Amino acid sequence: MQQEFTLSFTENQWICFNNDTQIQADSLDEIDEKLEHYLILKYKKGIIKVAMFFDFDRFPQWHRQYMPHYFNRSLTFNLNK
Amino acid sequence: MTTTNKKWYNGMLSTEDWWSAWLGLFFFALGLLTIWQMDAVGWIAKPKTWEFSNLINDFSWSKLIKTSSKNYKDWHPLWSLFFTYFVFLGLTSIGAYFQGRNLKKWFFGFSVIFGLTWLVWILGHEAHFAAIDAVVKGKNKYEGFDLSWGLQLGGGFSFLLSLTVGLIIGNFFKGFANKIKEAAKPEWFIKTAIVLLGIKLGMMTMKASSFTYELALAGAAAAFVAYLLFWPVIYYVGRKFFKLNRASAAVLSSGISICGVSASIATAGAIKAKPLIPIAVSTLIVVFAMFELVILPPVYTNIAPNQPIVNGAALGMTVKTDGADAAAGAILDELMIAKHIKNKGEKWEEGWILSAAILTKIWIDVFIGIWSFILAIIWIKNDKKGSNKHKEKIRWSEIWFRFPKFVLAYMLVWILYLAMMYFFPNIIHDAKIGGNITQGTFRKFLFMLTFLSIGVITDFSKLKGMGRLTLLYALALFAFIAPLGYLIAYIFHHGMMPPILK
Repeated sequence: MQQEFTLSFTENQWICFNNDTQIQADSLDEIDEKLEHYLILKYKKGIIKVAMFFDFDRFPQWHRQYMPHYFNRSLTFNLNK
Repeated sequence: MTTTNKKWYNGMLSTEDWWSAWLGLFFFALGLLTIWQMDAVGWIAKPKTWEFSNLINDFSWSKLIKTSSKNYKDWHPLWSLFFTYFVFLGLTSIGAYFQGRNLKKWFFGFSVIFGLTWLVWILGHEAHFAAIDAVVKGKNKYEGFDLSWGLQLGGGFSFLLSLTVGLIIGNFFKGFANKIKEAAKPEWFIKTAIVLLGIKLGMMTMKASSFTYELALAGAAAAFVAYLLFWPVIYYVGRKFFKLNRASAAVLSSGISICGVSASIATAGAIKAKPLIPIAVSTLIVVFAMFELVILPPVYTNIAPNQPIVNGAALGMTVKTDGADAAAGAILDELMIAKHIKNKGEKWEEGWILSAAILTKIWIDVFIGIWSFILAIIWIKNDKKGSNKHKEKIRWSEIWFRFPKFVLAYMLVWILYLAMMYFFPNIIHDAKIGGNITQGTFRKFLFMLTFLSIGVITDFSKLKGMGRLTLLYALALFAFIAPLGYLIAYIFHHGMMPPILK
């Protein structure tokens, strides 16, 4: 199963969201932990592939001319453990 | 509203990088129409060298401006200028629309930048600034205008003047700068110009193929060596002596040692640093690029007037951001050619020194994606927990998303010219008629837009409050990167000389 999220950033926090949920944390490790918790509540068990696409609109307008990409993440959550 | 890169084709209509490719390829295609005897580019206005008292005594627009081809010689110079304005405004506005810019602000900003750029370009061609006391293409304009003094800076004066005007606006008229900033896009303008430079590279290959390949390979090798030396040293110094955290040291190392803003964003993305870090580092890079751009070309010209290609390549490794590097390369090209004419009475063909600067930088641009990819893998394997609990994978698509797309267009243009040379040699003569205008006047005009724009967006006051980073940047740049970059450029490029025009 695959879940897609948009990854964003505001002030000093990472934000991971889709139409169903929004997770906010100081670090990406914390985001992953909270996301795992959310996935366990939603799916109970299984192997979930998660794709996170960074929202480049978070960068200032003048920055975008230099590089139009930050990063995407591809994670696998094994909820059977 | 969000902008994400999910599919390989994302950004094709919404990023400046892709629009540089589209606009450059469109101008290139227009230029090729001369193969079928259609001149679709000769209307573009270009400045003429003029002399103040001569103009005052007998004013005529035709002394200041002319069309780029004789096919349009009946056009009034002002009509040529207005037509140039409408074409560039129209085409860039289409790009601006798809990039989600505010079109009202774009119209205003571009119109002001266009007007100022042309004003400066005309002023910069006044004979006391530009004319060189030597016979070039059968004419000595210095003697022709009967000058008693002159700076003899060739086209370089227009570039420097344009930059100066931009910097004055950006630093002393900030309210006005904010009103025109929407259209001050040096990276878009310069990358479009670089695509057109692919035509020049094609023509250079026809003239001296082994030299051109050697130049391209030497640029790649030099960039690669520079990478391996610069990055670890800056990272070590940042960590050890400036006590930067891992993320800041890595982002700064890429920014200083690789290719400025794009490398710092790519590296920060690869190591998943908080966006605030690359934004801060980028501000530093953009401001310092201005110092490099202003200081290095005249220094290299005077210290090593007989090493044109070495000097060009050294700029490529030292000046950060594509815009500043190409701009510095263009100034160096003009200054060194002018100096060589004065010293030796012979004219190097223009564009070779600039190409040396750009080829080195382009390889660096290409390596950014690969380096970031490697760094991302290293970072994941060495994270604090070292467990990679959720089996995070780095996708190959990361390289593609970070790959500079204008380079594809630049290479495509070069390859198409090579293909013409090998498979259709009989059309080369006609193709070069249009090609000379697109890689000549079109490219130079885009350079002029770049100079003014880069000045407008550079605000020196942004350095305030960045003490430690600023000190490290300045030390690393002038005490380490610039001298070592020059040495590497010398090792790989010494002995290379541009062809002499007869």
